[in-house]
Amino acid sequence: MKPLPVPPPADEEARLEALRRHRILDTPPEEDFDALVRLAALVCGTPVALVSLVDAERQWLKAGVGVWPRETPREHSLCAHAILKPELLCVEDARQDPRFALNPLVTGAPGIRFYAGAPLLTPEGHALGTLCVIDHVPRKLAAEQLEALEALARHLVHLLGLRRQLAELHESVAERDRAEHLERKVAEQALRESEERYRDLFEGASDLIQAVAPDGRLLYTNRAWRETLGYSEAEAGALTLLDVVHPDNRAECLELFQWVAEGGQVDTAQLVFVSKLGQRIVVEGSVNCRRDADGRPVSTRAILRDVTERRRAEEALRASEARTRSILDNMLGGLITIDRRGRIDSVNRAAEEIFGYSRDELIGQHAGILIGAEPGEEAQARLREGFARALGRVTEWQGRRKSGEEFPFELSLFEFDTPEGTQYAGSVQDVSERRQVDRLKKEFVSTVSHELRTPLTSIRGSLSLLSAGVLGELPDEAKDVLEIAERNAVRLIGLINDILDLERLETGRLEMHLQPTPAVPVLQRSMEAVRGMAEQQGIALEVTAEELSVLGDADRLVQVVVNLASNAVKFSPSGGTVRVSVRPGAGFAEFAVEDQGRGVPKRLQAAIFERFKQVQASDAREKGGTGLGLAICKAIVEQHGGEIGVLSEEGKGSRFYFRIPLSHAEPELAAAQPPAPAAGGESASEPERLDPFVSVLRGGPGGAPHRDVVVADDDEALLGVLARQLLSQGIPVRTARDGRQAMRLATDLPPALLVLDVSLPGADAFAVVEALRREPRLASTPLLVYSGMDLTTADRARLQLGPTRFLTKSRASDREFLEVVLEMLGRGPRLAEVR
Amino acid sequence: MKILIVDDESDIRRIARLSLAKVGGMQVVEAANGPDAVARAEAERPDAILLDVMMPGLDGPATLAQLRSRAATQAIPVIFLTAKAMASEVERLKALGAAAVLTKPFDPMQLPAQVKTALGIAT
Repeated sequence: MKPLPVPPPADEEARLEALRRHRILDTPPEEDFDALVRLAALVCGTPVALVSLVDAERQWLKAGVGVWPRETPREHSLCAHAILKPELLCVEDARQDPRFALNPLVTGAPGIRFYAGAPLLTPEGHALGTLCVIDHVPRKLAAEQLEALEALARHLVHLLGLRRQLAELHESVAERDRAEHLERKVAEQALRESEERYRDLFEGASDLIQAVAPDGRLLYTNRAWRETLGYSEAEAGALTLLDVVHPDNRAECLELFQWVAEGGQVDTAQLVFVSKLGQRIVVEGSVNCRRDADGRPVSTRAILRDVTERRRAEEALRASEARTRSILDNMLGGLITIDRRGRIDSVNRAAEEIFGYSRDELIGQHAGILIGAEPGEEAQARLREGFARALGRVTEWQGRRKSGEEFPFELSLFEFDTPEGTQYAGSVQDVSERRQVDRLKKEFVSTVSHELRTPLTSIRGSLSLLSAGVLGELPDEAKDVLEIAERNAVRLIGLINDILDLERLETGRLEMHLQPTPAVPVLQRSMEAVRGMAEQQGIALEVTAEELSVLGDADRLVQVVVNLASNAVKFSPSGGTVRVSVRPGAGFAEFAVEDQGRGVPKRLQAAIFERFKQVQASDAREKGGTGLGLAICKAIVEQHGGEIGVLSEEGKGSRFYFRIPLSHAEPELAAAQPPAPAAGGESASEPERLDPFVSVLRGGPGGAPHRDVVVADDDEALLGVLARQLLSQGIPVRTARDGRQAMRLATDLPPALLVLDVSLPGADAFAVVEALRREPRLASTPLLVYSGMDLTTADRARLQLGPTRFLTKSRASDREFLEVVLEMLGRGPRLAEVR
Repeated sequence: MKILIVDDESDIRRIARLSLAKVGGMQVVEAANGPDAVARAEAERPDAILLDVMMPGLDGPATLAQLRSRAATQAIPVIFLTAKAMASEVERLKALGAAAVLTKPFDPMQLPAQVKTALGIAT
């Protein structure tokens, strides 16, 4: 007989789903469940107690007390009935219950009679199965027992719930672990590939790459590293960092790696390595640290570049620069380099000292700062012109020190090429001291001149009067002695005159007026001077001259010829001939004096033109010379731009010659020369000088020269003094107290010379000069700027009219002022010395 | 012919006096400084004055100016005697209005002739 089919509960599908979610079917026995069924059996006093779960097709036991199959078909299951209702199902005798009387488990083994099952209801109300107790005999349970069974069932459901949550948790953890595992595998793969790529990159890099473990071992070195230091890969792997760091660099290196390990990053580290062969290798680069997830250092990595060669080159360059700098700084002369824009590029120490600025104050400044030029186009243009003039030659400039003090300096420039273009280097010489010395020397010479001449005047005069017998006749022996004294006094005077002449020649202060000069009169005058002496010694003079004109100072040329000719006479044997000649050469005239004397030895032919050099040391005494004559001749000839020399063979005479440039003056000028005076010395008919001032004077309106001077100064007392000084020289003067008056006077009648103070009321000197420049007949008026202050080079450039001179009131004496005025008026010196 | 010699150096005055008197046969008076020279010139009315340029106090040019400013002495020819031989100096002195400029040292045997030449007297 088949039992009646058991209908499924209304929520069957959701119930089965809930059962699956609990994941309890087919799981091993568990202590918690076993304990509960034992308790249920104990409470109810039944031999069997089960935790039965009702699956779709079967009933499955999670736990049980008593002998019972683990699994039975659902249609035989009493529990399948019990889950239909939420209440406990109690069957006292199954044989008496139509629902179970035919159940094989009732009719056959195990022979169920009593059954009580409490459904296991989830909080959602689904019955998963039952907690049931079974007996093989019919029975009744007390109410307390039933209540306990229900309580146990509720506890069981709770246990199932917990178990389910636990299982779910485990599952999600496992799931996540699986996912993570997969992810890790993918990442590791990518890392391996990337590492491969980087390793490739590192190996091929030209920089030195290394990774160092915290203990100092070299974890990785690339090929460039190994090749530079000379280690194989295997050798490198066995090294520590300190093995390759130069001993001198170890402390620094450790410090660096410590710093990086502590979190620092260095981009320009410098290390010194030692190669396997012991070579010093300087490297430079970045060092950083790789850390693990906890921030602990894993390795210190460095990318370095071998800069040994560069360092060596830099050191060599530095040494060379230091050497150059040292040379430049120890030079006594100043040196300044200037770029194309006129900016100062470098200065040496001497230049700093000369100008009083520090190097930093000068570099980058416009060079105009050195001459106190105002910034601006005009000043820069002038500076450029000045530089052009100074290229390859010495030029004189008025400088301005930082203190504002003005001073003269000499500048010569040369060009040199740099990567930034052409630059100028200027050699600077402060000549203020030299100028001061020159001034002192001039004063000294003038003092000596006066101090020596005065006593000599007395000596010579006394001797002369005595020996002439003016004071009575003397014994012959006394006369002899007097003659010696007089001759030597004369010689001493000659010596003083020669020394003064030479000194003035060499300092360029001997007034020399070069102008077209006919050569024949020069020879004539010279012969007049030596004729007496020649006759006395029985020497014939023979003159050969061609008509030609030289550019020279007639008086000085006469001095040279007289000197050479008197020497020739002195050294000629009695009855001999001295030949004097002048003839034209290529652009020059050659004057020559030949004698038949003892000649000049070859070794002395150049030295003989030096001071006090004579063929024989006794010549000066015996022949009455001073030993300075030829030195003076040489200086005069050189001032003419000429040359002097001697051709001689010992014992066969000498030929002294000098060459002076020919004059290219217009014929009428040369023809206008008055004939040479008959004798040397003072003469009213001395040729008039043809300097520019004279031309200006002659160019005045109406052809009549105006030889007056207009003097402008706002200091009335000074104006009076200046005027009196000029008037005392016979120079007519007109005076002005301001600039406008000066302009008016000059316009009324152009003066021969304009003397201007700078700061005049109304219109200052700059304004006056500017206005006069616009007047063609005044634009070339000679100008003497007589200012109370020192003027800058820039000021001086603005104050140019005709021939222009500058004097500073505080520096120039009255005498100098007069001298300059006279010179500018063309009333310079004439040969008027009586010796 | 009367010549006034002005020089602060007595040796020079004596040489010049001997020269002019003994060689030139001239009458000579002396002064040792500028103011004295002006006074002597006014008192003695010499035919010419031989005037030293560099003297302490009133120097030669200043003395000349004083002589020129007095009616009694303004026409007396003055011959400067200077130790400065520079041409520009000689020129400057001549420009002041001197009859001649003679440089030291002078030759006492020539001095009388040079003075006469300066005064335009044929020798």
